[in-house]
Amino acid sequence: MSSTTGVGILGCGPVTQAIHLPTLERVPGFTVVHVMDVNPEVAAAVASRVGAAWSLDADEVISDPAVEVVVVCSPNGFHAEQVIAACRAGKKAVLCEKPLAMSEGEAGAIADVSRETGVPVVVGAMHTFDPGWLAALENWGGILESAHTLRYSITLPPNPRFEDFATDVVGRPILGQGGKFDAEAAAGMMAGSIMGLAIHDLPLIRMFCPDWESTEVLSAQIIRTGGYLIHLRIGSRSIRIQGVMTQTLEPEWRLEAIADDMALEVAFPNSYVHAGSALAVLRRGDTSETAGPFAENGYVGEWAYVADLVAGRAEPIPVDRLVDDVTFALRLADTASSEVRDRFTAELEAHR
Amino acid sequence: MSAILTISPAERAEPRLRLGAAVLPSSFRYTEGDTDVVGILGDGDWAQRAADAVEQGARGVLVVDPGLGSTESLVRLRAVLSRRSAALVLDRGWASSPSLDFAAEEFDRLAAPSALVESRLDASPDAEASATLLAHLALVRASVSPVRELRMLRVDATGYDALGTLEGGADVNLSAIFSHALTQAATVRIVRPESTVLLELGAVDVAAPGRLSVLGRAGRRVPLLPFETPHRGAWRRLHAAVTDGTTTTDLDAFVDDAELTQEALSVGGFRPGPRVAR
Repeated sequence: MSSTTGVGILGCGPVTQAIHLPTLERVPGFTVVHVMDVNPEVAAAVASRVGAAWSLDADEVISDPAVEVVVVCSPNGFHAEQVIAACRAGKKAVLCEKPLAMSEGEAGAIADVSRETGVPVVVGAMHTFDPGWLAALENWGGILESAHTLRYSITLPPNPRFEDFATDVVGRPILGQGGKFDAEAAAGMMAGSIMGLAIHDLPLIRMFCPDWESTEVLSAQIIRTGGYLIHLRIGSRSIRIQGVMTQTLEPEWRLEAIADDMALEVAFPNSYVHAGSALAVLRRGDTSETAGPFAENGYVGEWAYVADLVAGRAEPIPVDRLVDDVTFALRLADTASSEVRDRFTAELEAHR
Repeated sequence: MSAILTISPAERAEPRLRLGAAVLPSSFRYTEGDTDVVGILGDGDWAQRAADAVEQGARGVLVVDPGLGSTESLVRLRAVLSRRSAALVLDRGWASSPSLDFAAEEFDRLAAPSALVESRLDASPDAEASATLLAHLALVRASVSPVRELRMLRVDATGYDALGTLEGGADVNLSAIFSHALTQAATVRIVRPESTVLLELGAVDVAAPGRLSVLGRAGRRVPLLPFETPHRGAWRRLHAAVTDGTTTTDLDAFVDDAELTQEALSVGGFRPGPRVAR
């Protein structure tokens, strides 16, 4: 019997290559035993790096008895069915990359199966596991209730700038380019931006907003230079969510929570690279306190949690919380993309 | 014409006025009685007081933090300034910062219609939204270009968010956050796909330099900025205008910004109501 936990990975793209495999080297107790990708060259190349078997079919990984933890890194549309299949197979845990599901129905089905089978589900929202963020919550958790303003901003250079320093990527996907840019394309861009990028820290935003189901979208727009800008009101809280794409070298990934008497700023490290944890700073007028940066980041925190979960040292995350997280994102994506579609159409009409 | 202008010692009583005039001893000298220039605060009907000062012989007037004021008084002030060939300098917070001169070239380089321009002010909860927005418009005008259209998404006791368009067509978004936890600060950022310029300014009343960051494909440049308060910069400008006999356009700019502020704050949101994410 192996002394380590067998890991099976579905999807061998840059997230698997640049994030999960390097992270697993930092967290003892796991062995990647089986990987899957629809591209045989990529699957074989990634498998050879870790000495694992490889398949073209997710079911072969899920049905492999040596696989005890399934990692879902496939395209978003496959997440729900693969998470459900892994739960049905009775695995010790399922780690699914964001988003957990692409509809509320899918999310509900995952919750039902997880509860029925007792298989815990973890979503790879790495910032929720970041030691800097967790220290901020531990030290200054009162800000969750008192913050009146939240600002979540990302300035993001192209991912390869970071992936290429995390690993040697094989078979990088070619992104679609060109095509007609109309109201539907703009709406799709907004929905994709929320479900692909903004979703990272929406669980953190939701922690400040127990009344998240009353979210009002004040404005949602695609930024002409690349990116998105969304203004929300949730109860008495004002929330600004922004992502800016840039070719400049300097990334920024920041969450601010501001109350009348204290203001928290959490600067997260960029994705992919292991550059330590977030730095959290709490200001109270002319004084400030800091937490972090710690040596490890949220990816390590995420896998350390899975290790504890498998070993029975940690409680499963309530699946309802994960469902609420993705529901928040899905509703936001739907409403914000409708706003973008309508605005685009109205502006087009105005210029005719 | 003397390079030294006289100013009333009464101005010494007000820190915001003293902070400028007291540190330009070669340009201004305190004296009793009639003076060359007058400094006044921008509360209440400041335009009326400024016009009165010019009528009484002042060759230049500096107004610190002018509020919206009365339309009639602004009209009268314009007429009086023109008739008496007097100079008016409006010291409108960060807009007077000498750091803006150092950032101007970078802002000019990036200020294209396709650029994203954004600015944020952090202020005390004691701040009034209208006064803050007025100062905000002045800052954007001075650093990039005037805001021509503005729609408020939200205005409340914790701040505001607004979207707009600059002269020239670039999109701009403005926000203000009111909190005792944050020190007074302002930022202006222009983002283009391959270059970004960010200006960060601290409290208006202190001489700490701002920080200018110019980001490009090659990395970051951080040009040095001066240790000079916006107030001192405004007084220097008044001195130059009076001694050179040049006219200022401060009042025209202020009137435009004041009209936009009143319109934006009275109209409120640009749509009947927000969408609820259900």
